[in-house]
Amino acid sequence: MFESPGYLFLLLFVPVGIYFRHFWPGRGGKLPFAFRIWNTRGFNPSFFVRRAVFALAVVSFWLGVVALIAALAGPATVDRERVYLNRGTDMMVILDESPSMAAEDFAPVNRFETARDTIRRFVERRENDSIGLVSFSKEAALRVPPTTDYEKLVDSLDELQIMNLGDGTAIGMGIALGALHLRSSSAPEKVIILLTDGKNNAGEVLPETAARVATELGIRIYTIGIGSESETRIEFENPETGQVYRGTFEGGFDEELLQEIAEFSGGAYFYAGTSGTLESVFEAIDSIETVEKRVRIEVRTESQHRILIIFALAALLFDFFIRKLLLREVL
Amino acid sequence: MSIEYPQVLWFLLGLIPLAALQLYHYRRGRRDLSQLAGDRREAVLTVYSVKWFFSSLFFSLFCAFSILALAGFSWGQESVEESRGGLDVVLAVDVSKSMRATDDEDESRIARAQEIARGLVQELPSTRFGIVVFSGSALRSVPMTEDRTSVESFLSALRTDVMSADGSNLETGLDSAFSAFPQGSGRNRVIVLLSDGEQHSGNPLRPAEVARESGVPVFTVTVGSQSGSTIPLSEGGRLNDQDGNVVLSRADPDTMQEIAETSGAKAFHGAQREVFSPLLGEIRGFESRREREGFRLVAVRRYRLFVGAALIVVALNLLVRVFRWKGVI
Repeated sequence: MFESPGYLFLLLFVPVGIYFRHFWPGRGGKLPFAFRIWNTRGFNPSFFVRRAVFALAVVSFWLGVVALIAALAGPATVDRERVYLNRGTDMMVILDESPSMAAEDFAPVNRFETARDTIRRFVERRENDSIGLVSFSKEAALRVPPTTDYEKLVDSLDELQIMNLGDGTAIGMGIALGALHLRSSSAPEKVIILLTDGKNNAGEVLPETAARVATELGIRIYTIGIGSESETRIEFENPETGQVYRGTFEGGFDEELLQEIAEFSGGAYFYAGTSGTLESVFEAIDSIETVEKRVRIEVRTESQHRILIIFALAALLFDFFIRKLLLREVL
Repeated sequence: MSIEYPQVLWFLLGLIPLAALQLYHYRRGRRDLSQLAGDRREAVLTVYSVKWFFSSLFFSLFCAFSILALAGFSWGQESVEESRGGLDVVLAVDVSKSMRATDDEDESRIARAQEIARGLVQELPSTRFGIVVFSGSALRSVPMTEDRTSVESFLSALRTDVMSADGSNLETGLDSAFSAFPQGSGRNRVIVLLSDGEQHSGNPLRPAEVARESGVPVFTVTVGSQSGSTIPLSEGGRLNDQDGNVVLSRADPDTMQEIAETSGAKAFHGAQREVFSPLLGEIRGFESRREREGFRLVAVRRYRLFVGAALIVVALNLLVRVFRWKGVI
């Protein structure tokens, strides 16, 4: 894109210049002299090579002139940025990190990896919503505060490890921590997405109490119970000791509790028994939680004239040195 | 008037060897011509001298104008429409070892920086904050968020040992701070750089320039004294260099001043209570000014003037060479 393309009309003068310099019969700069004395050998330099080098110099000269004219027209690259005018939804994803999440009843690896992948895809579908991440097992920890910096969010999501926070399922702590970090949010809609496969068995805060606090802060809670009741193979590595645990695991989540929390806070409860259903659960939440987006396109231009000027300078200097030094042109 | 790349002007010195070359070439040309011209020698040489003079002059002028165009002169200002609401602040905090120095005060430099950062978080209520820490490398510790709880808890837990990389590189710190603004937020953007300004590598003026072009002021707060201070180690004692001499760390407010000015902001240096309220005032003033005016001023680049002049002298150079001197040859 050019800031003032009008200058490009100067390019029309280039063919005129080429004509005058190279083809006009009346052009100067030529001095007729006896090239050889009749019937003897004159000096006969390798004409072809010289002509080729001369042609190269001429081409570079004219390319330089074209670049100079282009620079005059103000070349710029244009960058369009979508700027959101309204506030999106604030979301806090609360993910169970307990050892039972290693159960291998979710293809291709286990529940935890499936949940991680699904959340990642969910984040990539959202725009303009601040999303945060809390993980919990025996205790709960804030991994990322609600942010639109999705790059950082996905990085932290990838760093999560099973059993980083001990063995246990402190659902209440997870919700409480999520609610705490949504407290200072000014978003019109605030949402917690809780993903667990176990029964609350740790932490100082009861899930019901935490849910009540969250509701008072205007937060809706979506609860997702995952996993099957049947016995499943389990394998995970303790991040502290590096020891690998293998075995079987049986036991499900507290469906009643999850239903109650969701209903109480105005959210919804979902059950996901397989990878596919988990994906569709997140798609459902994605479509429920949409706010109208008002967007303005902000255009930024970045001037690119420097590279053209450098090219023109280099081309003309090249032409100069070729003609003067190599070809020994006198003028 | 300001010059974006003043170092380019050194290339103007290249005109001297160019002129010498042209002169040498002129003498050789004269010699060759006088051998060839025969009877018309006098006339030919006069024409040659005149033509040589003008063509060389115009070629040198072309080089000069191109270099001037590249130097990036700008004067005057024009307004660019920019309606943004709200404020995003990135706190770029130096956590290099020198920030442990106390400068004979009660608190270390990092504690003073923390204090100022915490004050900003408390006094700017509807603002989003992000935190970048840096020493030899940089890390986006807290992404841009409205969640004050996590910003404040990160700030109060801030230590100099959060980064393992040695050294102090303001350039990477600023680059990282600039990239911590999420895309498409539509808010005003400010960077607050908290450091002693002492640096071992990097050119912080480059990112400051980038920030200025995007309308992001970099307010700098220098902590520490210029007279220097020893650096206490966490395991006791003081930091020594390889030869066993005690390392003295001196704050460098001049570098910090340059960064702030390049980006179009202000620099602060001094005791915490002297620095804090003017800094807060500047940030608030910046936000309300942008919101009220809905535009920002950018310097007008004047490279076109020089490119145009360069083009004209190239055309003149061509004319001199192409047209005949009537009646001589």
